[in-house]
Amino acid sequence: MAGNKLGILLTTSPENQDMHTVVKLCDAALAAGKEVQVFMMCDGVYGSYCASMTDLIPKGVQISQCHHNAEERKMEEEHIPVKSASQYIFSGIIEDVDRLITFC
Amino acid sequence: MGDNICIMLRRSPFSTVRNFEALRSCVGLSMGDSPLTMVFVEDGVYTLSAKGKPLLEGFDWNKHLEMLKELEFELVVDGTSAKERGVTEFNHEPSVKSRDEIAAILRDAKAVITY
Repeated sequence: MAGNKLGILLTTSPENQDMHTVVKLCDAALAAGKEVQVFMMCDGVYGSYCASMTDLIPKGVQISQCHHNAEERKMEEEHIPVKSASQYIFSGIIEDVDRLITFC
Repeated sequence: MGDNICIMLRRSPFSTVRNFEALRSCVGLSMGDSPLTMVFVEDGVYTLSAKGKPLLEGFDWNKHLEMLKELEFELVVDGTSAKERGVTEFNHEPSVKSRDEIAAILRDAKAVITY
């Protein structure tokens, strides 16, 4: 990857292989010295309940999720360690990163 | 590679609410600075079919499409996919393009988000 910033969009729920791939991808990107931003939407917001995902935050991965989708799923965001965000924030992530990988 | 964000819908809107979610996301993304193009391929072309009627209450994707048209974002349909499925009449006046033209849109995009 030419740049230093990687963005990841995750829209599938934790029982899908995608979340495991995202976690491993984040670990690999961090090990390579990349900055990583993850945005979760649709059923991807359930990743907020998974330690494998939230454990990435102290390692330096910035994780945010779609507030609208979390609200639809009755998630209590005040108990979730990821940032509550909007699609507008996601547009900023896309503009900021050098490469975006989507898991839809 | 430009700044364009391409959202590509491949699935039928009748079997998932993800198309609705993708369009909602598009409306949100439209507030950013990057130009946005929506591409409808394969079963995704049904989303724009004039004969397609949303079945689930509260998930009428047309409200998002109307908003995107008002914001003057281009809606692009893969002509081959539409022809294969007998979709000849469209809502929201999309541009019908060839696969080569759509490949060029994807190639030139900064990011492609596929639903």
